[in-house]
Amino acid sequence: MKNYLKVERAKKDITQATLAEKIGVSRQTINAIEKGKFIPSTLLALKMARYFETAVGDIFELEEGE
Amino acid sequence: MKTYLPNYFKLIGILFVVIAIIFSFIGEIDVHSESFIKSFTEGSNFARGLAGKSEITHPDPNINPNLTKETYDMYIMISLFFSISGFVLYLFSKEKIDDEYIQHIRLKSIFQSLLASWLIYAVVKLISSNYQLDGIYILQLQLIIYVIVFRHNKNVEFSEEEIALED
Repeated sequence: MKNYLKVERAKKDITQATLAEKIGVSRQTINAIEKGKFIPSTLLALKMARYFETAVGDIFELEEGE
Repeated sequence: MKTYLPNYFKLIGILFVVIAIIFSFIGEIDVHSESFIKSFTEGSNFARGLAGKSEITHPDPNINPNLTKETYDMYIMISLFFSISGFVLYLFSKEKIDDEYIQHIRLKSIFQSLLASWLIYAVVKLISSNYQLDGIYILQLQLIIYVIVFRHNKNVEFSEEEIALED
């Protein structure tokens, strides 16, 4: 699964630590999601989407064959 | 996996395990002293130990024990109680930031420790069927392996995050 979390962060000009604090997770979690090592739950994905004021589909996207 | 206890219970768990080690050492004092004396008089024999014919399973009647059988059993039971309680407290305690990524690492560690403990059990049984690794000791082994595996996984995952950090 591809994600555009880093892009969304860049648009808002916020660090991983700030985003982590806003949605109540650790910075390591945000980094793991950005690197594609960890796929977040629907709840966390929705929290991110709400924070970035966008749709979940704009942050996370299925890859070819998934 | 859900955790229910606050982070400071981790420290209490570690303290319990230390107490368990102390009680276990006191309970096994006769075995230790006997092994110590025999290592001087006869030298150690690892092969005999693996075959389950070590001096530990066959106490020397010429050496006076410091503890009675009842006292020994009591110390070992207390030790087991503190050991398992300590590991369970550690298992169910939250991390400082306990989010779903930590829960993911925890679940992975439980699975790995389960497989590792089965593997160790199989190897021990293959090497020597006389080895006592049954019942509550298997549970204790799984908990010990879990703590080691969880700490290892957490350190690996988090240190990789530190290296790859791009804010």
